[in-house]
Amino acid sequence: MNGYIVLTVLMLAGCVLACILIKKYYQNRMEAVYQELLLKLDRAIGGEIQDTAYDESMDAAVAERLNRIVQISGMNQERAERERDTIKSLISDVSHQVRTPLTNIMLYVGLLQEQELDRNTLLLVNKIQKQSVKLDFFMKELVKSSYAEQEIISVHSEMAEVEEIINTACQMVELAALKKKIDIVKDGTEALCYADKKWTTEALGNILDNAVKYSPEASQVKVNVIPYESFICIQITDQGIGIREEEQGMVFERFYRSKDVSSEPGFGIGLYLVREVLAKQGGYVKIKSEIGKGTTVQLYLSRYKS
Amino acid sequence: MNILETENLKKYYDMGEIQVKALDGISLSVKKGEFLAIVGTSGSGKSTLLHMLGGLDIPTSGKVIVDGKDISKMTKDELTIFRRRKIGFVFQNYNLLPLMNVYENIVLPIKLDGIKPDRKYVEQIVEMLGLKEKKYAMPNQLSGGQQQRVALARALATKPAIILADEPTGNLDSRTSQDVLGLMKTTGQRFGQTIVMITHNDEIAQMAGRIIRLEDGKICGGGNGYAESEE
Repeated sequence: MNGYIVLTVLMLAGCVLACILIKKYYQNRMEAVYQELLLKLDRAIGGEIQDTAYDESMDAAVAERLNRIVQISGMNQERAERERDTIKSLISDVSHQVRTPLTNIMLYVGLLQEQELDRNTLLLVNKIQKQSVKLDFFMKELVKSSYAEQEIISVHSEMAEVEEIINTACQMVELAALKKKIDIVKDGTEALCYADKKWTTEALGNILDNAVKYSPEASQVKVNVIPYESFICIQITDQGIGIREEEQGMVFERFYRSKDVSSEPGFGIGLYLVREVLAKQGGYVKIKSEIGKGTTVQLYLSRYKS
Repeated sequence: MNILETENLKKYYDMGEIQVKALDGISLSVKKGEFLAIVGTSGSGKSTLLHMLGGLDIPTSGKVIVDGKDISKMTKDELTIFRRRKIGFVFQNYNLLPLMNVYENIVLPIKLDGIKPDRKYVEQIVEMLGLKEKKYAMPNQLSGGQQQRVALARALATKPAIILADEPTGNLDSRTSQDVLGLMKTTGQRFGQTIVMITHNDEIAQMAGRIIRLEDGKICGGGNGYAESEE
């Protein structure tokens, strides 16, 4: 009799233990399944197409659906991007193509001015010349602003020599600086940065262009290089008119122009372009300025591949 | 889209007879991907505000809404999980665990949540923050700037809704500060990460897309204007 009781108790205990173990087992398996699913979802959020096995498992079915979601959202995005790109390239094509005949007109007007003309004709020719210069400026700005559309700036970063970027950018403004007798002083450096050479040069060129444009004659523009642990800083200091404090955050916005410079030509694209280019390659831009004393712009470029 | 909002947030402390108004009706909203700096002198209530936003302290009245959820109504246990999943913290004194190496420190909050870390994503962060060669170093072998970069990597690793940074460069020299802040800004841009930073230093605040000034528990400048938003 006693033996039976002990046996029953033992069997019951065994059953309970088995149940617990089975539950634990399934719990662990569920956990693993969820874990796997979570990882898959995370990858899908990142827009990644995942390998799926072609079998009858639920796992494969879930992965298949996830891939479809990723593909559909990718397709929609691609279509929208393609449409936008078509329009953008149309604008930039047209503005480029208009500039060629415009340059020719300016050339012919120039030739005409050198001819012997009576006073009235000369007056008219001069007017034509003036207007075509204006038109040329607007076309240039239009080309620039079509670049400034974020998506047109496609940055391909690589390890680049900072000195080369500085030298090319300085060449871009050499003539304008020479005209105003502005001295551009630059540091030598052997530093490398991870950036798109063409766009970074364009950005630095824009800063230098501003520095020359808003500085008095016979002043100095300094270009220094400061190495940080993660960044290379190109610092441009001028002795120009400066930017008021309340405007220092706004000058990087598209189409923003200070009231103080409304007499100078420009559309408020340059600094916006600078900020976009730098942000796209893992850098940033900083500005310090005192009205009447000058402006310091710092371009921070990444040192690491990212 | 607003990822963070506060509505008429108040925190009063009773000190015997006197009532101290640490926060006195703060309403602000932060857009997704924004880099916001909260500036104020010590005693202005900026640390209290940050603690409220991170669910480290409970307000006397008012609401804190993170990612659409009112956290002032959560229980203590809910708050703990909420903090682990939604908030990344970066502190002045780094708060790294000294017995774990750099990589272990970074993936710790993910592991605490019972999830396997996504190695690829973590590697990407490590590389972006220039910690690739230091991955197996111990915290005490690193400089202050490097330690803060590890702390930033740890905050980024869980893909939180917001990163809250409490005087992140308080212990660093100005040169290293610039470096760490730059990384905060660029990684924020890269991952669309919302960052709220408090500081007493105006120069440091300049790095942010928007600045809010706090004085005696009230917003006295900046507010909800988006004049300098980073979009």
